[in-house]
Amino acid sequence: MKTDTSTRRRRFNAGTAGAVVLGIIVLLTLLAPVLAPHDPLAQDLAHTNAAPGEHGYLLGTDQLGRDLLSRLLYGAQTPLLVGVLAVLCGGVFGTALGLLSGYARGWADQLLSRLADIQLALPAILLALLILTFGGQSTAVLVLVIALTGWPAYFRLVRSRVLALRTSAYVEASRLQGAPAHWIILRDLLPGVRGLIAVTATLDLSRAVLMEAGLSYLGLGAQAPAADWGLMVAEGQGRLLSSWWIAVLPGLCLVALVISANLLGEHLSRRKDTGGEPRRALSRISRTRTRSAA
Amino acid sequence: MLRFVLRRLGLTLVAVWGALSAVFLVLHSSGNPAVMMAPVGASEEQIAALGRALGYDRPLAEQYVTFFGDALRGQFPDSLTFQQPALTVVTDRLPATLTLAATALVLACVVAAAVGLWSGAGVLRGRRPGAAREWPMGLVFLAQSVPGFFIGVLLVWIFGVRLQWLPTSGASGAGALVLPAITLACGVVPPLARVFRNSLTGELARPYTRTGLALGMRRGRVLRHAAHGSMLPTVTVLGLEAGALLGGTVIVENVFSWPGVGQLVITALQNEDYPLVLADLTFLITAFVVVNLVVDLLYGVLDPRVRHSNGGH
Repeated sequence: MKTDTSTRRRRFNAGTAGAVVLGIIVLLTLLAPVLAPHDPLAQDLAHTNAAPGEHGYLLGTDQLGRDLLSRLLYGAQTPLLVGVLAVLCGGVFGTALGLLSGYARGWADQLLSRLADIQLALPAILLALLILTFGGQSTAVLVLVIALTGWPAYFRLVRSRVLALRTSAYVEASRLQGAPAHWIILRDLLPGVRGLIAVTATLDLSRAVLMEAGLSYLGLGAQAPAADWGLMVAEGQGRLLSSWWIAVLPGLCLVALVISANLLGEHLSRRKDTGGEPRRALSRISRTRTRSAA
Repeated sequence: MLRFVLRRLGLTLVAVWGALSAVFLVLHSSGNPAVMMAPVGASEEQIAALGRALGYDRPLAEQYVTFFGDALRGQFPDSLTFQQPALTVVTDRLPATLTLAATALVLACVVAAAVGLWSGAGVLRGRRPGAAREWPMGLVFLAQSVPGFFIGVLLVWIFGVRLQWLPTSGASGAGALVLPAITLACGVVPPLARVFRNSLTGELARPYTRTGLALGMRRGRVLRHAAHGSMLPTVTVLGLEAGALLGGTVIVENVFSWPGVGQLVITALQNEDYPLVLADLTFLITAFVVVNLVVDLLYGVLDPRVRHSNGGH
């Protein structure tokens, strides 16, 4: 295929750039305890709001004199941890239900599909606010809330792919040989949706990170004094006039993280020949809507 | 048509039921909801009295039924900070939110149209879509990857703090509307521009474009016809985004201290005014579901194919 060779010849493309940036961010976050020049929570009240480069602070300090560079290095821990866990929970849950729904069909399929419709009809951020307010604010609840608003994407994509796969010759052959249902689902159908899941998960990661950041900005995610990019933007917003770096630098880090996940996801979705389905399904989720059954 | 309306209505009722059940479930997951509904520092007896007054001591099944009735009639416990019925406080703030959302929607339409037409004009000049000339689409991708609150903070920094052109908080005068509306629009433009551009380039690939050009029709005129043809999918997404804007207002209003429903819920949260939070969120979630219903029905009116399909996947 012509397009395949041309992408292979172009060694460096947007997808690679996304993967590299994402890798660097993950690596820096993991190495934060080694790399950070200061304790991210240690206050230096003599040198608050120091500009980048002043008093030996490479990227300056915040309103409590905490080293911004150290806080930035630690600041991706919550978004990445919450994001990855939420993607895992939502992905496993949605994929499992999608496999069952597509394989079993019948009333179970009807029920699960309507459940996904209802989930999509509820606005994600408002639902998250509600659950975090009345259900308690903790990292576990945060993960569950983000996973809860993410599973329908996996469910729908996997289900529709399984509906197409279950009538294919190799699944038919398996069935005729008397393979049990769990064998067909795990050995025949699951490998067929693996690529689809990988693409969806990458794009879902950027959604999860954006949601964590938004909730932390509103004060319902990571709590002070923790270093968290979304929370840091909120803390620095009132000091834009005198010390812009406190809010702007963590925001830029967040943008780099989300863009790299988006670039990688978009690139994968083109390479893996998924026809752009995951992107459409996810944009549907991140904006939460009901356009489905029509 | 009737069948279509009934189907949609049914799905909406189920969604409203799901939403309210979620609210109820979450409210009672903490144990005694009266603890949250009482003012800070209330004594045990006061909490118990409030719990009895609000019916929290009844069996759960009975509470579930009364909760539905109350929610549908808009009856919530009084707001602790405003000393008024919570829903009245919410509806008082509604005009500000609607003004912001409507302005953002109009702005998003203009920008998305410009981005789509730019790409379409490029295609008409024989450029391959997806090339570097489509830089506005690149900007759209960028906007999609920037958190809404950070777009807001950047705008405040540049236009409010540095250049001092525009106010950055409150709702005094038309100038105060500019930055929040731009921020809110940034969330809507990407899906809108994408669908418009894609259906426009799809229309331009159809034979009537070539016929028009071969007959000597001006490019602008051909583009206009193609744009007309790509209206339907664009209008669908536009309508759906109208619902999504409601969710976006929570974050944007907080960035700019815009005195709307979205800011109210976070202020209430900070003041531990949980009755108000409950009323506000229930109102917004129900409004969101209803807006989506109206949009779906409108889409059925616009496109006969929708109302004649029997649904299903």
